[in-house]
Amino acid sequence: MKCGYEEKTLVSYVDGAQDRAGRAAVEAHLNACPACGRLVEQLRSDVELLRSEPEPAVPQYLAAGIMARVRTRSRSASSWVPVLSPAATLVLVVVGLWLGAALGRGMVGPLRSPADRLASVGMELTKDLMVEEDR
Amino acid sequence: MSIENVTPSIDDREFVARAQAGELAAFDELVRRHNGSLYGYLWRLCRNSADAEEMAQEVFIKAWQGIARFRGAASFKTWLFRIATNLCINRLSRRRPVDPLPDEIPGRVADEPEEAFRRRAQSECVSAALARLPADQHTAMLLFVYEEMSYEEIAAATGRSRASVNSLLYRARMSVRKTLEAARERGLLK
Repeated sequence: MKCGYEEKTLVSYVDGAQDRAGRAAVEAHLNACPACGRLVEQLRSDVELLRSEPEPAVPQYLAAGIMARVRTRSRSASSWVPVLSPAATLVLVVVGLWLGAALGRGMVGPLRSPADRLASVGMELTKDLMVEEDR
Repeated sequence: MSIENVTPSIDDREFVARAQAGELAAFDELVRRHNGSLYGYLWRLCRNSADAEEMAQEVFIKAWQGIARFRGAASFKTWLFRIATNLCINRLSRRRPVDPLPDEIPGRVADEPEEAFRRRAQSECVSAALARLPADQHTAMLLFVYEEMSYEEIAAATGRSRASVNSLLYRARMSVRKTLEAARERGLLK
């Protein structure tokens, strides 16, 4: 710009991005500088030209298509029974594996058959009843 | 720049709160309100209907998935366009070739009215002026011209500072000015 005035300031003025003091300063300069006045008008008309272009046609089914996909994502996200944090999931897996192994061994000692386990439980219950009866 | 310091729309806030509580119908309303302008922005960025449509869907899915994290300091629209801009940066990392200014406008189609021919020539010059811009200037220019965002909103939507937006728009406006002036000198524009 031949007058030396900062063009960036003129652009922000045209764009409405100057505060009141800034606008006043620019307008004072424009009153005294026809060249800057012409640039300001050209910048305004450029934006008007760009905005005069027709809007692109939005597909009529766009909103429905978007919501269909959102609903699908929403359903697949909620199909799992409560979503756990990775740490909680790991703890559950470890506990589950331990329980499975422990149940297989009958909690203490070597693996026993189901019949043996039921028999031992029955013996324990019988002992308890005898203790109760003795009281 | 953070997404703060941009006044949110009061109407959108009510639907955002309900969507954050899991109400799909509320999110549906937000989609209806903003899908048009979002599609327009994406179409102007990539100039392809199928790509714009796919990206619009992806943006809204990301918005739905992340809506619990939306703090509401900026408008929902600004936040949505931030998601879109980030998505476009990833998708369109290589800018399409710049359209050269046509040396001559393709001849008028038979029986094409003068006005229709003039509008077609104008559209081609506008497309060329915007297509010449680097990606960051192009994005800022589209948000300013067609979404009428303020510098602050553009900063929030692009993750830049206000000063950076000022610089981007200055360079973009000067480039567009130069291109349109050349078009006028060659008789392609009034």
